[in-house]
Amino acid sequence: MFNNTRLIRHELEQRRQMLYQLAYSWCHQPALADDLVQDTMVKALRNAKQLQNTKAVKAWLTRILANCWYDHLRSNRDLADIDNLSAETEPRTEDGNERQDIIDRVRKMIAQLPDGQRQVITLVDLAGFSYAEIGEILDIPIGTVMSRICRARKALKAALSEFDPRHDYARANIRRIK
Amino acid sequence: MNTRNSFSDEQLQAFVDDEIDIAERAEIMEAVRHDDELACRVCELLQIKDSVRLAYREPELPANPPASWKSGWWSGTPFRAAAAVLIFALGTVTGTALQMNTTDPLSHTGGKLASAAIANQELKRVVLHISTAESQRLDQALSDAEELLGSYKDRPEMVQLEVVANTEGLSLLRADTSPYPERIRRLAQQFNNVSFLACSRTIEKLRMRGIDVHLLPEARVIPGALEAIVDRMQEGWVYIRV
Repeated sequence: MFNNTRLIRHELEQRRQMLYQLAYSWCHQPALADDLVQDTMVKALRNAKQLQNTKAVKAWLTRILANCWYDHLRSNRDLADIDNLSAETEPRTEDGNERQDIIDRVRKMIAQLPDGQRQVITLVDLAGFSYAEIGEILDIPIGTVMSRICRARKALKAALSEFDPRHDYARANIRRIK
Repeated sequence: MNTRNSFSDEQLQAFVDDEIDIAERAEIMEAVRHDDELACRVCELLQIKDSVRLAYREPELPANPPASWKSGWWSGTPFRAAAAVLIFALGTVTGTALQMNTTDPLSHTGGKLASAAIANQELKRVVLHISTAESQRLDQALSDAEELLGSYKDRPEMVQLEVVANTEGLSLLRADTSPYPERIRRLAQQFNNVSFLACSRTIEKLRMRGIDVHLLPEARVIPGALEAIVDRMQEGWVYIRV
């Protein structure tokens, strides 16, 4: 128990930024994301004994965060308001720079994804989890993980294409994978 | 060799996510060299991946919670979380397995709940975490503190209370924003077993936004609120979040 608690505390310090990043990408509300991370911290310490595999602590903490998010959705479903998202994103510069436009658009698009797709794509792209780890965190089969990623990226692609129909970015970066 | 039509979207997703074996990876990379359209499909996926990372590289930090969710969220979950930790801490201290009722609305009974639970311990060591600027909540928190300290004024060695303020809650300890400077001054003067601790990270963030932070004379600055709270929890302190 003591070793687990010490490990969890260390991991919480190391993973706090990642947990906040994930929580924010799920709810897009800074204070709520902070609450979710703090609730995760509390529950992780409270349930330190339940951590069986200490090597999987990152996934364990993320699973707790996901459960905190589900709890919130269950009790606050009626408060979700995607239209308010633009008001909470970073203020644009006066000349409206492209980078901020992309950030705003991607955030808004991700906010509009179904919960399952939103979680999967952020877990893989932001936290770097493998499909198998995501399957365990969300308690879903790997096939579901893959299909959700696929659908989420198709939706994002449509949103980004609308933003930049020339697709110059893709062609300009072909060298990256050679 | 496969042509571009041989690779499904799922395969290419797995490729950009590094979820395929070396042989298949080599096959796709080789195909990409000879097929511009396939290269574009892969690059679009990489672009999307990069865009998601870019979008959340610097997530906004909590500053001014919007009113649209404040009332619903704030009144429920933090108090349930506080109750969870409180019960956890008590369970640790007393060795008693307690169950948490997550469905009961605790927002109107937070103070009584805390007092009743605290009463079960021998030595009362409580960290009161203030993370809201809502005047009503701050009032309740200070009332709890006054009640707890007051009920042990003849045995102050039995109680230790730390009031830790961060994020929005720092306003309680700021000279220019605190709604209750006089109550804090009275508590600090009357009891030497209470500390008012201000999170330096929050102060730093406010200063970066051009806000000149002046704390009440009773407040002491600590490096990080959460770290301090985790330390206290490990030492068996009861944690109550406001």
